[in-house]
Amino acid sequence: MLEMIESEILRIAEQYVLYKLDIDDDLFWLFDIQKGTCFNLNRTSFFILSCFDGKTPTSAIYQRLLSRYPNEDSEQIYDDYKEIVITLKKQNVLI
Amino acid sequence: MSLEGNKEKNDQIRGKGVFEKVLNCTNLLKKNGISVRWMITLHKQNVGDVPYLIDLALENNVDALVFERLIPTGQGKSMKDMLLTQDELSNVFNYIFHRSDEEYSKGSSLTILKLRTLWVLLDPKRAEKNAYTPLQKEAGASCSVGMDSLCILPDSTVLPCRRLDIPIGNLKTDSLFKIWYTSDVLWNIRNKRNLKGKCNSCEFIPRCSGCRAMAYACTGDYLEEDPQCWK
Repeated sequence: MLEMIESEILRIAEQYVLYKLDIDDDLFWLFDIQKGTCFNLNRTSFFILSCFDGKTPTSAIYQRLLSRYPNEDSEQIYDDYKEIVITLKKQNVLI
Repeated sequence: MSLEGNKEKNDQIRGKGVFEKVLNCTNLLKKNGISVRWMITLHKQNVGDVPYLIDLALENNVDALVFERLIPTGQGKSMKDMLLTQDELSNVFNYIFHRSDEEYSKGSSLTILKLRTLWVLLDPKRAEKNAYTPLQKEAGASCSVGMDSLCILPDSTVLPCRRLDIPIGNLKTDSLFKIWYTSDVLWNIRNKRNLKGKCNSCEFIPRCSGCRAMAYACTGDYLEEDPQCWK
């Protein structure tokens, strides 16, 4: 079973491109440039995905999330973050 | 099929005998139940022929007419002096708009398509399209570059539009989706905040946004205002 390894360094696979369009309401997407699929993202998911730069460990990204949402329950943030990382690794979006 | 004006003007531009060929092909296609659309590129030389061309389309049972603006690019690069002024364009669009309504009210089957930039200026209220607006009455549409259209040349070069001569990739080396989702030119055009001049603050952006190819051909900047806009 895939697990989140906290020291792991991940990046977005080449077939995916993140994009943010700065207009009145910012719009965020993840594009699959092989299959053409377009995923609408919210601000938080865009932020999380943009942190996977191939340099930053998953634990450091979690710390960034904690600083970004200081009033949220840290355990809940951890659980949600872990689920996102495991799911996206499983789908080969994060490699 | 393209037509440029009456027989003399058409054949002067398209070649001897082309006018007759277009009429013959139109009749042949119609006899075989195939719908026919004529496209006319408007410029100083043929703007006076518009009433005649509409009559001719009616006589030949043409299904649809499309009036395009001459963009001085490609073979038309040396034709900048043939571009219509803002007033000339406004006048001919006005004529076409009202003639189209007139034909529609007579029950004509000819559709004069006005789903292009600048048409919104003729009747902004009508441009607020609803499900009950027949195609013949619709007028005004935003430029589709980067939204639902692309141009692929025979050598696989990809352009944002057949009239906007800025290569954004080549299908021999890049996937279509990569070009579509990563081209800076396309994203610059998609983000209407980038538009300059009067296009930037125009309330008709959702039903116009100006012709980027015209802006590029006339100013060298595809984000500039549409030079033919008479607003």
